[in-house]
Amino acid sequence: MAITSKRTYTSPEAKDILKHNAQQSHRLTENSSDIMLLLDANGMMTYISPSIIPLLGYIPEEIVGNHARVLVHPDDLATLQRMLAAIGEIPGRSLSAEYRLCCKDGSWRWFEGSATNLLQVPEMGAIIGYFRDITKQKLAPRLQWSEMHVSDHFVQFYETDDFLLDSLSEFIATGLETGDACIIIATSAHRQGLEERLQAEGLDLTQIHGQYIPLDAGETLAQFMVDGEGPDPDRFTQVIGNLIMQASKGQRRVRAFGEMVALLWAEGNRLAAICLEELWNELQNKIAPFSLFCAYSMHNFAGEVYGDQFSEICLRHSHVIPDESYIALASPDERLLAISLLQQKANSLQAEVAQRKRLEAKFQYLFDSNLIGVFISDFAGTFLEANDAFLDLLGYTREELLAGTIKRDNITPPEFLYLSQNALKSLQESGSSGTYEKEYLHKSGKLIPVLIAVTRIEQTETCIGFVLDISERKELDKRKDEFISMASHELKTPVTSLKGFLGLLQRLLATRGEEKALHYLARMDTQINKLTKLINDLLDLSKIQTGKLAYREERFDIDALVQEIMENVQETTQTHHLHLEGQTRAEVFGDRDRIGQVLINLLNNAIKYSPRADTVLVRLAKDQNNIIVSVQDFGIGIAEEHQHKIFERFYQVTDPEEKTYPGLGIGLNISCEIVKRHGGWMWVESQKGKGATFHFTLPLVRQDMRQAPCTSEQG
Amino acid sequence: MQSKQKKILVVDDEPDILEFLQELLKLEGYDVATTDKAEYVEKLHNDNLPDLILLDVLLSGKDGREIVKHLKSQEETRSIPMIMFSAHPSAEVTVLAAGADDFVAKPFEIAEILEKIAEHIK
Repeated sequence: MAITSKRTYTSPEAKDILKHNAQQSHRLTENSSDIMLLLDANGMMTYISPSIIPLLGYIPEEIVGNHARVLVHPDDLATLQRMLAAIGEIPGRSLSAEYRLCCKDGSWRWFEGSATNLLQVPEMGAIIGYFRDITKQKLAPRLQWSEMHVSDHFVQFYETDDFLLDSLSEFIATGLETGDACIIIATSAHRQGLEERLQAEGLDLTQIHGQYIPLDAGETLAQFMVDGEGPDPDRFTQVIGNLIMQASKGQRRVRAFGEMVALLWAEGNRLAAICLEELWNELQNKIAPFSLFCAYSMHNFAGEVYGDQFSEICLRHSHVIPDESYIALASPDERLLAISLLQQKANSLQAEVAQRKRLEAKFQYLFDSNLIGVFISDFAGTFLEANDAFLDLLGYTREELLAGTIKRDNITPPEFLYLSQNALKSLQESGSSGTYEKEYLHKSGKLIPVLIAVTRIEQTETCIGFVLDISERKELDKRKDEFISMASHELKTPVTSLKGFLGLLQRLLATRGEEKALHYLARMDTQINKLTKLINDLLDLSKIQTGKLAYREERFDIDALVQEIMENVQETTQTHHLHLEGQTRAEVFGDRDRIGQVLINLLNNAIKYSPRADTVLVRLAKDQNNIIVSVQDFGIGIAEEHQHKIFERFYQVTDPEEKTYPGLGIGLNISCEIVKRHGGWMWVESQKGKGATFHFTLPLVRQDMRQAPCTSEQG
Repeated sequence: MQSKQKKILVVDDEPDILEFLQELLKLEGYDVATTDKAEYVEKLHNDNLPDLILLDVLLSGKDGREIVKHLKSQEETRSIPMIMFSAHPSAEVTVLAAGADDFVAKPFEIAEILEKIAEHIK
């Protein structure tokens, strides 16, 4: 404990104060940075000056009567005890020490406290204590400006302007008081803040002309910066060197505050900033030594990427003064603790950064693998980022991407815009577009079929998309369809001959009355017809896929068609009775033969999959907009898990326990496509073992529909 | 047996089909000529015109529809009924558009083709 007697309050003065109570309280409130206490021999407070209110937040009456220790920081209690004990022994003795006193809100402020034993003084009988607020000094930078070496180049980091200005004003004030010349190259806001502070400390800047030299940082910088490059060394030496030479005339020491580097740094011109720091260092060696104060806002280093540059800046200075969050810590223990915590934080941040970099690298790797096109675009349809695979697919360059020229509407043919709109809608609603096929317009005008899926980047109006070029697959599909089409054509030629000669034979044998042979021929004809149907189904399937199945468009009476088809199918079966319920008395619009094909298919299926039943029920009904045709059988039924798949191509229920049924597994797919093409729907209701009911709807002919029958070809 | 036999020309590039159609139509009492050469059809002469032509859509190296279009554009052959057949049922639309009088999908029923011939032949 350093007990000094910087300020001694002698007993006569104290007596005076006490003799004039009214005067005393007036004087104390005048000087609000002092708190006066009166203590009894035991240390209990008998009086507290009202100046405690602004300083600590207590009202005197609240704590009068308590021991003085209630105000003192726990770590400083021992000091208090020792001091009270020491002065208690010798009347008139006065001692002082530094204390932290507790504010009502729980925070602490630093005070210089002195106590005088006036217990023996008549009319007094108290220990009188004075506490002066020294918080500002305690928390100010630890460097002793007056002891600064003239050749030092130090850097101050700061978080708030207030802190910088406190620090700077002390640096300049000390200089001005000791006769140094002070050059301030700062922003106008900082120059103004500094001058206000200096004037508040009683310095009259108008009286020290030639010693206080304020300059604008931006203007000064402009005198030696070369556009697009860094500072010009010669011009810097000329401008700043002259300035310092001028200021140092008369053997004056020079202090300089420079903010030009910080300006360059904040502008992002970091190389120039470091280069300028170097020039300052060289200048210090070249001409008369001077002390240079640099300041950087910590906000300019918020980011892991600044790590190296930050240390480079530190290395270019002879002293580094950390920002206020560290400076504010007064005791060595607190500082050690803060350093430990910072070290831990730095380590974990480093680990975190490394982890993130690994993740980022993984994503980047994925992005750059170019196995598949990847892009990032905004909802408005501008492509923001893309990998080479995507750019190659569309024939654009990276420069064009960066210039924002790739837009959804430019690379999507008009007929696919609705698909993009749908995708965007579901992106906004559910966060994902799902997978869909579309075509892109290559820069050359070529169309590229692609498979695409887009997902929203959370909480943004952007999305990431994956694009696969499916040209090759489409080409294969096309060739396959051509093959099927050709194959079914080739198959039909021999079937036509077979059927023709068979017909000839039938005629020949009929004239001879060869009943048995005729019966066999009829069986052959049935099989040839089945074969023909299979070939036709294959052909239809390939046409549906390529969108080339042709449909007639005509009005027809659906009741009549159902009746006609049922009669035809009835002729082919001896096992089942086909029963019709209801009628629609309605006309539908479409291809009569194709709808007939659907009905034949459903009826044949109903017969095929109900080998033990003897009835198939057909129901006709209608509502406001549609007619509904239902075909019900009482056969093996369809388990629920198969029900949505039976309309898919090539799907046949395979159950090891069940016998297999003949067929290619394309009939329902074709039927379903035909119904859809007519604007209707097809679905099934069934339970395993309990039969199945297939329904399909067709839209009713409306009054506004075309009258004249005509034909159209899809695609 | 008709006093004057009606002449039918059958054009197809499949010999089997030509053969059975020839047999069938002969049995039905028609005078039948067959060919697998499209050029033959294009050079029909006034003195040797058939009463009806049966023509396949796909002939080797030639589209039957083009032949029909040509014949239907010539004064002397315009009035000859022409029935086309094809293994592609959907060819009907284009066949009729080309000017053919009727269409039969392959493979066809004997009864069906005889009916159509009877309907169109004069």
